[in-house]
Amino acid sequence: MGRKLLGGDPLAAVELFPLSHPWAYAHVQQAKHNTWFPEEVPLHDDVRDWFERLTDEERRAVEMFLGFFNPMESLVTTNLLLSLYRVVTAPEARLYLARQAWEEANHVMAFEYVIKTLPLDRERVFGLHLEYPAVAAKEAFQRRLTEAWLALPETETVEGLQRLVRNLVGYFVVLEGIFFYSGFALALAFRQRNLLRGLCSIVDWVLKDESLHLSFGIHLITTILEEHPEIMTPEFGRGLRELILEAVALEEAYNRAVLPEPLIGIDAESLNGYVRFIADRRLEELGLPPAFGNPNPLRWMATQVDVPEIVNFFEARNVHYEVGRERR
Amino acid sequence: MATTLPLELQAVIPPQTSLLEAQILAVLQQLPDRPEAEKEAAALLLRKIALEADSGVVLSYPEHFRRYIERGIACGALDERLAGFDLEQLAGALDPARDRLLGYMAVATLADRYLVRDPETRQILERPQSLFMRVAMGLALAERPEERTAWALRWYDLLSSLRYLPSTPTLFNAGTPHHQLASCYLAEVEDSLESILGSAYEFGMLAKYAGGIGAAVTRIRAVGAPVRGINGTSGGLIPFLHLYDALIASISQGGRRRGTMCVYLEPWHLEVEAFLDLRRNAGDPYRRTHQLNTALWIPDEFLRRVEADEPWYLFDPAVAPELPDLFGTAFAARYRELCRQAESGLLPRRAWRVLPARELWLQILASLMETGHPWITFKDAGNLRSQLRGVGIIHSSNLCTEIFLPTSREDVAVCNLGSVNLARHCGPNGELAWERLAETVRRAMRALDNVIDINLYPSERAERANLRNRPVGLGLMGFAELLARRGVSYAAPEAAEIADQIAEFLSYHAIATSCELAVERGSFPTFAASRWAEGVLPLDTLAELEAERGLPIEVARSSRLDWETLRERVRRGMRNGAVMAIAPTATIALIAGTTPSLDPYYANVFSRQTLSGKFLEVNPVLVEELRQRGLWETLLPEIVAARGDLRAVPGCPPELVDRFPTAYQIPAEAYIEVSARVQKWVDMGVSRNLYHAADRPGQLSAAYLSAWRKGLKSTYYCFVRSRMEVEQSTVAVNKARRRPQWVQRAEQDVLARESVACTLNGVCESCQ
Repeated sequence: MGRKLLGGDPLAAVELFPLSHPWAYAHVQQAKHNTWFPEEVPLHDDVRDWFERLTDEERRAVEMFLGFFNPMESLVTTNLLLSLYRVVTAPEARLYLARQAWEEANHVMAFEYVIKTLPLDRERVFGLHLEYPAVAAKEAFQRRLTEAWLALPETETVEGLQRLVRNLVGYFVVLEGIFFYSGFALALAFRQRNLLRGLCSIVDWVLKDESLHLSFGIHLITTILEEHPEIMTPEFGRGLRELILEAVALEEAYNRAVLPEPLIGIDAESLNGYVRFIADRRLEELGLPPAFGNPNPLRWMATQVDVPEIVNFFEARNVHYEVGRERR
Repeated sequence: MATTLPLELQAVIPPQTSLLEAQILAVLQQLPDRPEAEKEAAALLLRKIALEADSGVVLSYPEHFRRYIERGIACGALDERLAGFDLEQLAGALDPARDRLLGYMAVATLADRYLVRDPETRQILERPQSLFMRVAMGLALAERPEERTAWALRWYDLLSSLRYLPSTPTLFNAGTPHHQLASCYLAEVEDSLESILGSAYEFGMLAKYAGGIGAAVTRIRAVGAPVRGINGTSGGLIPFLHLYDALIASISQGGRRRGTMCVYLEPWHLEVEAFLDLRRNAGDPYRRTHQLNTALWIPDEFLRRVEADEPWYLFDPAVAPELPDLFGTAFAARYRELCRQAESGLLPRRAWRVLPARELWLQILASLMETGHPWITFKDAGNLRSQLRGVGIIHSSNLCTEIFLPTSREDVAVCNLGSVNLARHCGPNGELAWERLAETVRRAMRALDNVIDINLYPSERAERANLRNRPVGLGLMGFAELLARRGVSYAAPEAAEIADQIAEFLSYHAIATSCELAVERGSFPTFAASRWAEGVLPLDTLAELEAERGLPIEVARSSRLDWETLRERVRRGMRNGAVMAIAPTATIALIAGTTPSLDPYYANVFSRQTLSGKFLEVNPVLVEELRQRGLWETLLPEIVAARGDLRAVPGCPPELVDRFPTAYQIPAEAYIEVSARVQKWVDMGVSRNLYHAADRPGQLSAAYLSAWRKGLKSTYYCFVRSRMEVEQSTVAVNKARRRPQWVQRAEQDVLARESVACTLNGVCESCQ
């Protein structure tokens, strides 16, 4: 059997092939095919929507979405490079981490592209995450996970591995698989009313990337659990579940701050129902029992995300073409 | 909400409309679980429109209509001549029940873009039935004054029953003071700065009133060619295309439609490789065009060389200015002569290049796969099968690859389009009402012919060419719905047989109607120089293409109708130089509530993104079938989880799995065969979308070569299945330890390639 995911020499030059973790390389290949750039999306109609059709409340909600996403993307990058790259030593997995870091940077540039095009007052938008306690609490939650791991980053002991898995769950599952999905739903609610379609095309692409990050993260976590069956004690499982439930509570408070009053097509209560629904799905993906058992109140996300999409070419950006395929 | 609306709108939009908007969103939430919700949302939206149009009350249709015509003319939204109709009779004919034929997507699309508004306040003035009547009246303006009301009533019935819809520009502008009703303009850009910049002005004016543009740019000299008068060299083709890109993006058509344009290049142009990169997402933004569409206008000689694995020569058009005007064997002879001159050192070295034809072909296919561009169209089939062969040379197709008309320095070709809705001519089991279909074609052809005389031409060159050739393009929609109702899979050979039969019937009656119109109104001015005057019919030109190409055209030649009698009538006169073109009908099919053109259902559950929103669609015939079996409620969540692919739904009856494939399950060959059998009867072209499950560009080659061999004139978008599927957010399937299908496939792919590499390298230590 080939190389383990963790615990190799972090400075060694290693050959990529033969692969020990083909799933990791498959994610690298797919990430390559998904390459996109924000400038491909025209925002002319969004600018008109912004000034001619959105209410003040709606503009504020979008500003919070934009103002929150970028700091969060930067936290993910930091965690990837400082926490994970050091200990995840299988080269195919490292290749993916490097690629993911580039994607997070691309997302930051994409939201900057929107902010500069509309244009919004950058300082005010990025100040928002400092003003709202609900936002600060989410950031503190992520920071704590990074700090807890960096305080003692070792994979030799069961406790060390458990702290690593908590970090992975906190980033790949909670941040990229719950927090971001809730933000996407907020943004896509505007498209449901035919507003901000350029921004929503960018969200489509980001969502495709985040889907891949989530999938990679789940593979990473389950592979570590398979390689080290001893770490998944009942107590540790309960701890992971509590971590996710804590995150759900943070997200619910945050959504109430973003949507103090209902907007047409979305309100805090239904968005939070959706958060609980996807949190249950994530728990199941980790092999843990679901916590809430409620149906998804945002049924329209099926239209926005779940079913195959065909684009009337002259009317919207098609985000489904993939690049970098082998020719023959 | 209302507090932030512009002041002038607050006066006209009553507060209950935002309440209605919230209700509509709530009802739409129930989709797809409860398909009826779609009609309920449509009813609410119709009410919202009525409240706006009738300023806060809902009037009966006759009351609404009288007031609408008066106000519309007063505020300049409607043509004054509409007052000259018998308005009482027309008001009484509006049928409110016909509103119920419209689905939610249809009403939303009409409200967003089609319904006429007050030019100042932007208040909606009309309701769907008054729109259909306004268009019918606009078309009747070409009739004698005493007959206008009668014709308006006939066309109102045709349109409001959704049996036939004219193309979007006619729906937008008929009966208004800006009656630009044509869909398509085709032009050729000459190799001079005067022509390049003059065309830019003309394209802008054409785009303003909803015309789509196809432009042949092959004549523009390549980079490095000398420029006389400035002692320098040309920057080539690409920077000018970037200019057209910016131009077209700047014309938003009042937010109702984007400015749209496609540029056509022949693949021997020295800069063809840079042309292929125009739509790529990376690279110098000044050498990219994100809005402009690209197409290749491919002569047979290129594909012959691809098949034979021969070299392909690229030339600067400055040294080959005659090639754009040549086709068939004449093109091949001249091209080969140029190759010889190049090899003998008779051409400047910078003016030509050679590469393997297959290498360029692979580059073309790779670009198609990654960007959906360039569209592949066939120059020789386009010209050799043209009924206007004696009138002029065709230098490109149009924005949607279905129009084939000659262009020149003096002529900008124009075409106005309309499509018959097959789904509104068939019974519950897909049996066609042929007599009714023939009547629809007769009425549609007269309406199309009228457009030529009513149309407000944005350019003189366009008016001149259109009045000389009088082309119209009758098309169809609802083919896939018809198949579904008849229980025939798109992939079955019977589907192509049905397409053949329908296309023959439509073509026969379209041509016959044009003959009748010629008796009444006279032939088109260039008739004597056309193939029609020789008694040549579209089917006959297949043999001519075959003879000139020297390769068999692999299409069944059978026919069912009495073409010999018709041939004699055609010889005596035709009103229209061209009669049929199968357009994509992307938007009018949404309004008509059926499948567009010849396209299949994309999947059994899918979403469609348009300028008016993102909408969920469920194959309605499948819903009926599952409901009859009591399976709809149980299977729906699984169908969504399976992304509309019934093969992945274990509880689905096998006969339904076979009958309702997704677009990617239908073999490319089936799409091409359907198109070939339709093209057989159509004098202009067939816009053919292809859906391909290919993983690599090379896998597309067979499909496109087959399209060429079967005599297609063109293909349109190439949809390629994405390999990855995004994480679903409404599906409650426990995925613990269930790895997504796409990861498993990608992993197998990675492993397969790794092992192939090892065998090729012989003994490989790392594998031991």
